Amino acid sequence: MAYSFPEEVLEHVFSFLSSPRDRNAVSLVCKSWYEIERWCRHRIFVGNCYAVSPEIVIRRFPELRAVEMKGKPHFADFNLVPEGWGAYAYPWIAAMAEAYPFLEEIKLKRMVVTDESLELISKSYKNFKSLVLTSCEGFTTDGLASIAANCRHLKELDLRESEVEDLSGHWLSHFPDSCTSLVSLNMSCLGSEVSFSALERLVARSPNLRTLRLNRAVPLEKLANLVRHAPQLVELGTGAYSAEIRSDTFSSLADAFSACKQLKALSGFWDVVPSYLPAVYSACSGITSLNLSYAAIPSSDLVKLISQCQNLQRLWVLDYIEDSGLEALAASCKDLQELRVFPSDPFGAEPNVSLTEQGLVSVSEGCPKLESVLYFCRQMSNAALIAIARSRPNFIRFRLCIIEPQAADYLTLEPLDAGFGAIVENCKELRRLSMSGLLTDRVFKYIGTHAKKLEMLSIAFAGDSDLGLHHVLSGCDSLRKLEIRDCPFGDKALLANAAKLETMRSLWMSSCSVSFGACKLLAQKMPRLNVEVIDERGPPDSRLESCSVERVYVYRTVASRQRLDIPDFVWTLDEDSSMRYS
Amino acid sequence: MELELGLALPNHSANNNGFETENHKEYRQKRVFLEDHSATGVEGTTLSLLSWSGVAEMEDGVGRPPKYRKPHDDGGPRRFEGWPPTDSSPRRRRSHLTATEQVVRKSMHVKVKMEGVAIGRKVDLRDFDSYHDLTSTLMDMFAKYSKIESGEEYTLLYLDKEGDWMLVGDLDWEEFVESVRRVKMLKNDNKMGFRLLLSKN
Repeated sequence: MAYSFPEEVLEHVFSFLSSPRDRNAVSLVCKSWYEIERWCRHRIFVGNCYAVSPEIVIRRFPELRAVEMKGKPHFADFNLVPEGWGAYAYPWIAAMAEAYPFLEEIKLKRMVVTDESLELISKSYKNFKSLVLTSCEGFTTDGLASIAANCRHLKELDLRESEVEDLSGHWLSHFPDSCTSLVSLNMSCLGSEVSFSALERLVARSPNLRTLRLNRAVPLEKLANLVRHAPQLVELGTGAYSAEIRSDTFSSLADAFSACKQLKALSGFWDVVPSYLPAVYSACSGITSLNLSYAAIPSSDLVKLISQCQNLQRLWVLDYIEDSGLEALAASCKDLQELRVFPSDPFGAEPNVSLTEQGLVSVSEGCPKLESVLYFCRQMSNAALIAIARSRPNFIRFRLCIIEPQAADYLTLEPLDAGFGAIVENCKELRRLSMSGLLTDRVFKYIGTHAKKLEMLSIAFAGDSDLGLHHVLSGCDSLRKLEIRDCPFGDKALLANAAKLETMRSLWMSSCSVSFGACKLLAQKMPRLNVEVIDERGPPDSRLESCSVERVYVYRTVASRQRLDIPDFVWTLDEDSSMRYS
Repeated sequence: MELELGLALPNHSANNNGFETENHKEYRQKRVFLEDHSATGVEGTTLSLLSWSGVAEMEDGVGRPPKYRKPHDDGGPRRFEGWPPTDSSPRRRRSHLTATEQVVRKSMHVKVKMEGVAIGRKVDLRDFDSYHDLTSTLMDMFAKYSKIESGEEYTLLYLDKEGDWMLVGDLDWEEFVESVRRVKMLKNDNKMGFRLLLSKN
């Protein structure tokens, strides 16, 4: 039977589907839907740049306008992935420059991006609008200058958390006077000072500017001038928030902020001088997102600011806030959805602030909409975790880092199995979990039994045996990303659950007990998995096969398992079933 | 100034105002911090309180290759690469300075140990306003309580907030005070660095 719907109608229906998952589902219905869908897909998300090749993407999707891609595994943020491992953007940029002259948006995370790539972007895509580089590296401010100079319709340049070789601040001056299209500029990760007058003129001629995140080098005395040119700002990241205490500086700043009626997010606040914080008070009632993770000021000053923000939904703050400050937060910010508390002195032997599990308990009890937490502290108890789980069954993301590895329940000296067990049992929608503290195989049994919606799990210094890993791999139905370090997990669990690994994006294991022999066997058994042995001690076959590898990174892929950019400390299985590097 | 016996394991509780003898073994949960001159190995009844199958959590735990431990593992907490996972790795520090460089210290007490002397000391950095002030006080302190050869030279090292042992004198006094966590004095055998001449004048 022929279809009663013409293709155009189906295409129109598909145009209402924006989520990649929906689009992927649609493409699996039948061959003709696959065909129709691929011609009208304009945005694509590639969670692992090595899971697929540029050629495959280009062949399937001829009409892309926006590409989002991730490279290195998450643990690269903590220096666990050696330099030179991979995730180079250039092959993608070069291939897409040919195939998609109308590409508008590129969003990369944890990839190596060179100045060459940036120049190619700036010159290849006539209608380029948005470049977002999160935690990327490999480029200098010269590359930024190309983007500024050549992208005539640039709306967004966002370098969040990237590591940029800062040759000078002149790159900003490359934006031509004719460029008035900027909507979002995030240069907070840069060190050098840019020409302030160039910055001021750029802001003044960008009527659509909604997001401006300055770098630390922009002095507070000049902030008012900038803000005055952009009262329409929705998100502002200040530079260094300190200056000599002068009433004219203060009033100028306060006036500028009072004109910003749409401000929803504030960040920056390096080197905060608390006396200048009241300058932003007029904007606080509208603020929904506050990033104070660089504000090294005492709890009382933090609380004074936070309690002005009754509509706060997201707060990132240092542990200077202490338990008392978190209690105040719980009392005043009933709309709070996300809280991140970062350690001010993570390597200190002794606590420098009074922040304990109690702070998290207060916020969990007091904030009914709290669903996402990242919390660093130095002590935890099962009782506290159970209380938290009971107060807040709506957690989606729960990441707890107890600073000392394998720290037990400080009250009972028991492992924290029961506490984390309560979290997974009560929080049925939990999608992401990071655990710490003293944990045995038992916690993994709880996780495998209850955490059915869990998509990402991070484990460190935990577990007793392979049984722990087996519980997770066999029980967590929705698991996509699993990252493990320093756990006694080895071959048995891995090999017994080989098929599971194909249903996941990736598995990372470092400083565990996985042998080289098992890696080979896994790669042989599972042709659609790439099993990368990342070991800086030289060829794994120069050691016993039973020897543990330093790191193994396993990911599903439809691209070749011998990636061309493989460095000499990474080994993958060759066609002739021997493990060697190419 | 407080006294502290150097032979025992360091006491990591917040109030350190007692004597520790060799027989008083202080645990930090299951883990052990060994000073380089102290007795090695930990046996103790607290291990039997733990309810899981007895994995002896010594320095070299089962299945946990201590690969990333720093070579100079004396006096500070065990350091693992990339832990805690705060993104304030040296890589990130290069891009923008993090808040760890602006630590607001509540306690100015640091432990001072001299090589060859069993008894360590604690000093309050707020009592001093310069390196000279600190070092002359240290000299007096150790000379009074221990037998020190006069004319002996010592190298002064400090444990900074990142857990590294550094030569005293590389920072401004204010920066040093912010950063220092512990001090040790090693007998000088042609090492370069901050020299303390322990002569009595």
